[in-house]
Amino acid sequence: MITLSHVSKIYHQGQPNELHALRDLNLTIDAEGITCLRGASGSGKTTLLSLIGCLSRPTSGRIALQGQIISSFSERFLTDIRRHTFGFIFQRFNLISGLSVIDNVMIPAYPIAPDHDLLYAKATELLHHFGLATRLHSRVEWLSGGESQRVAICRALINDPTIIIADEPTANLDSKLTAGFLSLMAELAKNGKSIILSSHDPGIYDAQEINHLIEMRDGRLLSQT
Amino acid sequence: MNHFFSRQRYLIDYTLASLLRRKGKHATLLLIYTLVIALLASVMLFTEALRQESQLLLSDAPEIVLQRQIAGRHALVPVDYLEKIGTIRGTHQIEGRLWGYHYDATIKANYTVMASEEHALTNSEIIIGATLARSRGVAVGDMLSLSAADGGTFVFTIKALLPSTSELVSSDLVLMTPHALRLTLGIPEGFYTDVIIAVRNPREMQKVAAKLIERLPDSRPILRDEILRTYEAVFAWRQGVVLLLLVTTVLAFIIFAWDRASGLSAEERREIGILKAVGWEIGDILQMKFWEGTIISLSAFLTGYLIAYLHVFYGNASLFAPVLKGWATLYPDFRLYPVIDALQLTTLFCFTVIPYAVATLVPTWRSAITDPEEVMR
Amino acid sequence: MLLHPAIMALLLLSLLVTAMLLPAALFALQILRHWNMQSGSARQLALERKTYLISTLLTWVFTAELLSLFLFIYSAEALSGQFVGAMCATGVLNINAWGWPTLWLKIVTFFAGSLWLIMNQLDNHGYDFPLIRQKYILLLLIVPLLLAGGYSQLSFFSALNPEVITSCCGSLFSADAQGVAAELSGIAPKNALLMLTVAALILCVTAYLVLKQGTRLTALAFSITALLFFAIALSAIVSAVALYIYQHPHHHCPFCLLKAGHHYSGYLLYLPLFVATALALPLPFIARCQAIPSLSATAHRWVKQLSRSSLALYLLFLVIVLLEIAASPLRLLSQ
Repeated sequence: MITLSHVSKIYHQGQPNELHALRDLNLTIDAEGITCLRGASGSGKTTLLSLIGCLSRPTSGRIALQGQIISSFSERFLTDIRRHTFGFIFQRFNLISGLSVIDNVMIPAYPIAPDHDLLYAKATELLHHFGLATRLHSRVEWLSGGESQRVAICRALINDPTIIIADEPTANLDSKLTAGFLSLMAELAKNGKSIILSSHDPGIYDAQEINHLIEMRDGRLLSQT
Repeated sequence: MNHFFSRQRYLIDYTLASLLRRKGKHATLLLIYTLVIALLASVMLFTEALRQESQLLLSDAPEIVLQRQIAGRHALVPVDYLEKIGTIRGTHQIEGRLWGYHYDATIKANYTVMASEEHALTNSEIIIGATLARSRGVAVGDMLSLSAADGGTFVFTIKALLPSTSELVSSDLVLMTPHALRLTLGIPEGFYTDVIIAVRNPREMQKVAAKLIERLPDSRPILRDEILRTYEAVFAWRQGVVLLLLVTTVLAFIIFAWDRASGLSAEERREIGILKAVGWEIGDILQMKFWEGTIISLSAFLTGYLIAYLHVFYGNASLFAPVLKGWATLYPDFRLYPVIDALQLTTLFCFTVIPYAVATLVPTWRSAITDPEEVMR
Repeated sequence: MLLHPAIMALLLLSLLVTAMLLPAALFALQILRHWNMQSGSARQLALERKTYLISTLLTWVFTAELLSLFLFIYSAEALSGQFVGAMCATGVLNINAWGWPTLWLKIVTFFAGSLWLIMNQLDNHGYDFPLIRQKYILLLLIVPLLLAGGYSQLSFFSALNPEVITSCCGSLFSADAQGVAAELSGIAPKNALLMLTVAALILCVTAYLVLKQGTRLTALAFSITALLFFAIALSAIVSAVALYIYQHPHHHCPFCLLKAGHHYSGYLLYLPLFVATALALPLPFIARCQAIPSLSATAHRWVKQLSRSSLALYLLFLVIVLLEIAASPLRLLSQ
């Protein structure tokens, strides 16, 4: 459960290009199942996801994650919470080129420093599960779009997060892969993970797998179902 | 603790992989870094070895050398001075020495000519230093002609060459009998170049010197310890001057390193953004960058020092021997005895690695605070 | 001024330290004026990110200072060949009035620096920067110390005059001379070692109390005893331990120990002693942090860990002292 009260986020505060990305937002996300943020680009979806995912702090207002107020945590502790709570899937996959598939998957765990053999086994298992068993040691720039995304999913899962955050995850995929992605998410949701994703693709927000829909416009909440 | 070490291991692993991925970018930096260290280390190793060498040589030198001065200039010592010195308590050997310099116009160099009675030379035989033999192109058994003070020319047979273990001093040396020396250099009978005095207890040296001046007011006693101190100062000073000149080099390198560290490519920035987005923290990035700096510095330091070592002790410091060594134009070809000491290593470290670390500090931090949000846009 | 490479390196270090210190001090002032953890304003975020830079900067500053402490003693040793009367670092430090103050300032800086670094590390364990103000006030107090150290060192080196005939350890550390060094040397070895033993026993008692209770009072007691032990240990080195190492009943020098001729045994003695004291001094402060909600668990753990490590190092020091005494053919106590 994530609660936001009177949350605002202003970029470039006090400068000519000041941008009010979120304005006095009040919102409770009951993280069960798949939640979808819907809105045009510039509506504040990405900002909201980054605040929820502890990637940044609100300019004002309070955010509580499972009852713990995180909006005044230092970056060091926000990162610590992020590591153990959230897994991220980005629009452009954001894999690190030059490294192998398995290295990319293991990277989020490095600062936590688990036993190397255990980590390796876990990454291998995840990649097997997502059908990448033959690609373990390929470099990521040789992968197709669908494969890249599955590597990104494995990377998001390596630290056993409870919440997966996906920002426009299907923008670079065709409709067949989009459907595949949704069924993967549904499977994760069934296994107890909460999923929060943003999209302006009707193929996603109208899909039957979505449990909750939040609509945004101009940094404000429009509707929540 | 365990967690700390295994975390560092992961970070080092990652750093190594990322260094290898960007070989090109780091190769130039590493090369220049290594050269700067090699240059500085060569200067230090070389002067330090010279200092040790001279100290080693002087350890056999007489405790006191007595010179006579007239009008502030060095003058020959009359034989009766030896009697005038007579017996001073604490001294156990007083002896007149005959030696001098001889200019050879054919190779435009100065020789040091010394009288020797140990080698059983005849008046037409000499012993010369190895470098001298090389530059005149002569070997044992050959003839060597030297012009004498009265304008004539003497022809000597070379009886032997001096061993080249301590060539620094013996390279330009010519040994001959006292009689031949007097004729060649024009030192009249009844005079010595200077007098050497051996003193048993080093603590009495000052007292002996004071007594000498009292008895022979126109004499100047030179103490071995004083020479040692002067040598120390001179070598440290020379080293300092060269280092001061090299400071500009270090500075240029530092600016280059700073520039390299701040000029982050878009791809590297994105990579740091990704790392932070997937759960790395500013501290993790800083530590990763610290390892990057350590790996680069360590390789540069070790390679640079090794190059300097080879350059000085196997390559005869060919690059700056002329600046640091020279007094005569005959450069001895000698093997220095390798010396490495901790003070030198620490000093070198302070001159190179610490400035490098400081220069890359701010750029590194700048890159580490890359906003993780950026990768979502 | 002598143009010795080690002197140049020391001056360079001091220049770098000053260059890093001034922005850190300015930043400390900014923190004290504008810090507000509740705010997510751009300024607050920028300040928080800058704390990383300043911590790294100061870690380097104190590393450089530690290095310069070693280098200073080392170069004093190395320079001793250039001065009439100097046989080791003591003689060189005696050349002018700045030698000893520089050394003491460097030692105090070492302890102040380790205090700051430990505080900083502890602060990083709290989610709301609980010690940020104390940390930066302390930094502002350390700045003049470092600047004074730099100035003193510069004065020392620029007034190094090779003409001066200096007096070395033989005359400074001798029972017949005047001053603190002479007083120390005058203490009978038996008494010095007795005092060391008593101090060690008290240290063990206070350490036991800290480990058992971990209160502010016990931590303070341990810290004070540690400081006393440090002073007594230094004087015992001068008045007794050195004699055993030199195998000479009248050679009291604390620096000749560091030479190769005495197997660098000085490092074996000084290293555990200094590190143990550096670990013991912040204890009262850490014990006080047990009252801060975001730090109490960490501070509680740290009090135990630090006092345990500190005690272990002190005991190591004592063991080394005993070994040196046992290994030496010199016998002083039976007389």
